[in-house]
Amino acid sequence: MINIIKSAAAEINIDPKEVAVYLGYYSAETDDNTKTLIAECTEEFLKAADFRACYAEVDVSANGEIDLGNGKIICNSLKRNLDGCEKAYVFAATTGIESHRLIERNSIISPLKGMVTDCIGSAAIEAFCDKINLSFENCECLRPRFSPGYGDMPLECQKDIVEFLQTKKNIGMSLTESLMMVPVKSVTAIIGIGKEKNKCTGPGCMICSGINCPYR
Amino acid sequence: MTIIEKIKSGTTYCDGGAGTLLQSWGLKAGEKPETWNITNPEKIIEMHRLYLDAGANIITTCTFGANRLKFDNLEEIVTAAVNNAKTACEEYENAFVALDIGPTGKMLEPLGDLSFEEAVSIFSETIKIGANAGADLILIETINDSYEAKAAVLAAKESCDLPIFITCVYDDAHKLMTGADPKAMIAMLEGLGADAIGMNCSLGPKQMAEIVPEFAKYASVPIIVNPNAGLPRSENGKTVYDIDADEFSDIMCDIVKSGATIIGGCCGTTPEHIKKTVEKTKNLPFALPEKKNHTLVSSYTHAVEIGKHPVIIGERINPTGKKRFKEALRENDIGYILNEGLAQNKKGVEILDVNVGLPEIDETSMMVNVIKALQGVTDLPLQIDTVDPIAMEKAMRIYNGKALINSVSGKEESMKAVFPLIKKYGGAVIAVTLDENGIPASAAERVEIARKIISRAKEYGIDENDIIVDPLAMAVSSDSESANVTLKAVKELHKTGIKTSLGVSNISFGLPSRADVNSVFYTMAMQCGLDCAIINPFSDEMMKAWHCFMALTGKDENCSDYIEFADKLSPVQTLASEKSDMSLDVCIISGLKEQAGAVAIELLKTTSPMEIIDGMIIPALNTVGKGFEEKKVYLPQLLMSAQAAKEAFEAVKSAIPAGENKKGKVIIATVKGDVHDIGKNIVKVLLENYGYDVLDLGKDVAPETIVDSVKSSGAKLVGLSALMTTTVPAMEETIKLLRKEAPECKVMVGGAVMTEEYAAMINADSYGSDAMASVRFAEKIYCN
Repeated sequence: MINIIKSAAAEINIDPKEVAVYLGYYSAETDDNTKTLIAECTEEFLKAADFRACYAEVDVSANGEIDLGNGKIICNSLKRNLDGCEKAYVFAATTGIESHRLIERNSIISPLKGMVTDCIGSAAIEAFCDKINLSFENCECLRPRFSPGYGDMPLECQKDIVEFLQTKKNIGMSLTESLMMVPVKSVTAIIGIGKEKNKCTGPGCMICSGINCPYR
Repeated sequence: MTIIEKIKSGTTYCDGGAGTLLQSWGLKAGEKPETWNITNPEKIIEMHRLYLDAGANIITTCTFGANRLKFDNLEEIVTAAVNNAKTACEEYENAFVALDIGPTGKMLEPLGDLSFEEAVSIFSETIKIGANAGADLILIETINDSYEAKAAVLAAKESCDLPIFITCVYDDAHKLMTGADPKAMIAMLEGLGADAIGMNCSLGPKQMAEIVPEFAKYASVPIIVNPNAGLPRSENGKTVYDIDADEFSDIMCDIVKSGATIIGGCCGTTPEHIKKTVEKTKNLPFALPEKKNHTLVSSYTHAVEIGKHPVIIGERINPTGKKRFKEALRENDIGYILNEGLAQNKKGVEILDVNVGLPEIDETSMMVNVIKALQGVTDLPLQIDTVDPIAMEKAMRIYNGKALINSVSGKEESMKAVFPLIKKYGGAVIAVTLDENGIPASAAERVEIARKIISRAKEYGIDENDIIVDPLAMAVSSDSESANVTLKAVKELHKTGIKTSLGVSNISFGLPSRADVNSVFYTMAMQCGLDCAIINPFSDEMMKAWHCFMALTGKDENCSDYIEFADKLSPVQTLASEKSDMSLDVCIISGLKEQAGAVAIELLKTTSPMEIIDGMIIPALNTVGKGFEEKKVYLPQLLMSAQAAKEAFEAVKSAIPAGENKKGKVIIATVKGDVHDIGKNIVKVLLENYGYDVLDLGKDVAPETIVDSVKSSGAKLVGLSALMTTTVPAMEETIKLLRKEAPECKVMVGGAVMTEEYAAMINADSYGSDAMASVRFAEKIYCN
């Protein structure tokens, strides 16, 4: 069964520091003008956003494969991620079509505002996904979200996930021919449900092996 | 009895859910139910019969996902589905086969990549097959996007003569997923001529019961309500719904009492739900919705009602008398035009007039492009303003909502051209009171022409509420009676319930201080009952007149809008006096946009434009750019400076002889299949800052288009952007074609997935790791 969740904008905490990281400040102090702009655009973004997610629990085969009805998702990096899991969540989330329009609109008004709003959108969808995943019953046993495009998991898997979760109908998210997600701030992922607590969990991308990544 | 006679004679019942039933009969998860029309026809027929036995009159074919995107054997499936439904209906009275049309599953342009015409074509294909197979009506359902709803209804209109029913998916905020509220959907769908409209899926009957009164308030056609059986939950691995047949049917009684006359069920409902609903509601009083007397135009989110208060139609998207706007049209600078729209939006206009006619450009394609782009970024309803019937039709077709059309006149030729379009696509139209004999001198004669237009419109089946009469404001400088005549006509028309509009500013033609004359005339006209006016929302005088009128006539509660407006008026003046104290380079380096523009204007009095550009703007930009390259300045700061520099540029540009200021042409585009252009836009603003003539082709641009532009413009440099690995091949293809067709042209590439190696692999001349890098490469090409 596909579960659908909505969150009010007030429940989503967008960290301006994370937005600044996306804007290229990394660990440097954000200047005041940019800080003000981030605050303004965050308010605007949260007004436009409509946070929706949907997910379903699926079986993971003994050799780490998932069957979404349209053929199995098989790839080595996902297998590694799902090692020891018998079940997984197929997950999709979005910040909604009006937030997509806002990014488009702001980038017409000014490329700067467009870019800042875009980065806020990235921080917002991450915050939303984290919030939803933490609300799952067995959240302490969850593996990090694994999305098409990670490792050797082909982007084509987006199609299977979108079809399987009927994301267009359930949360208003769809794919273009070139596999871009609409609304632009959307996520699809497989989340393994492990058996042991606190194994392989970590906030956001901290689990990744790229310790020199600037976003870290 | 036909289905139309049936829905007019009493409550009509649709069937309920299919998925749960078919799954209990062996349909596997992931298996497409439509294939059962061929593999298990007896089960499909059995399902239809269960609903007919329960009392349903409308049986929906098992074709929800049947379209060419999902099925190669579409004809076979749809024909079998209609035949199965017909077979089931054979022994029943008053049973009708509805060809079920579900959404395509794709998002339409500009948000997604499915073009409107492609969507129409996909729906048309299924509808033609279903109509040929003998369906009695078309039921378009589970649509959560207004644009897709329009494509489907239009497809049905163009493909068959069957009645069209349509139900959309509203959420608990009473909106479609893409934002439309019931009023907007009613305006658009009734305009398109749907025979019955309503809602299905997503919500249970309780929540839908709250939406039905909104439909009853605005709809003139029968209302359809097909709820889910409440909310789903998982029980032992199976999906169950929380509202049983008893509770469901109880609430359906309330829904009928609120005004729905066509009812049934959606996900989770069973023949039992329908049976009990029929039993409990069949003896309730039946009343079709009354015909409503309102004038609505709509966008993809909301409807604007003309007749409640004076509606402002923003006039600024119009080249008449505007040099910069004409230049934007000639250079295909859609961004400038969009900004004109967005700025008016901010000023509080409710409808945007769109006029892009210029003799030297292709008005039709410009109109279509501008409308498409505008409805991607602003939710204001648009007024399609053109005298060219072809441009008018193309624009009305792709418009996402019910447009306002400007205009029709009392000339027979005009009415013959415009009214069929209104009938087909829906719309309200401005009717100007002139005919073959010109503009009559008296108010009475203008009212007479208005009546003639309305009565001719009725012959085409167009409601008089969709005609808004413009009794024409003419220059008072050449005829001292002209304002009196116009105002008298407005009053007269208003008295008889006819809606009115005026192009206000014509009144002051030939006079000094035109804004003062316009604003007083505007107030007088509003006092006479004027319903809408095309005005310049950037004119403080006009906006003052409007805000004051609203406050003084009790249309602005607590005068709160007026107070907010008045608050905003003063600070601009104080800012202007502070501007000139700073030097231009400080303004640019600090990213002070307004100040940079003002200081540049001041400087022009003493300094030549080229000196300002080469001696001040560019060095300031270089300082910031260098800081960025050394990682001392960050991208947002670089862009703030760029915007300030742009403002200064705009200010001095007008003082430079055409063509002298540009260093060279650069074409930029996001490649085919790629719909993200934030990075490209940043590159654009920086290149423009450095004096390049940037031709921005937009996003999702085909290789051929890029090559054609290179050839026609003679640009020596092309910048390509791609965000994803899936669109890099399109970049490679573009470069290949450029090498072949325009070998002298250099190509720089950039984007999230791009790397130095990748760029070399696809044979690009340069990889731009950031926006400054693109400027440096352009300098290499053009400045050496």
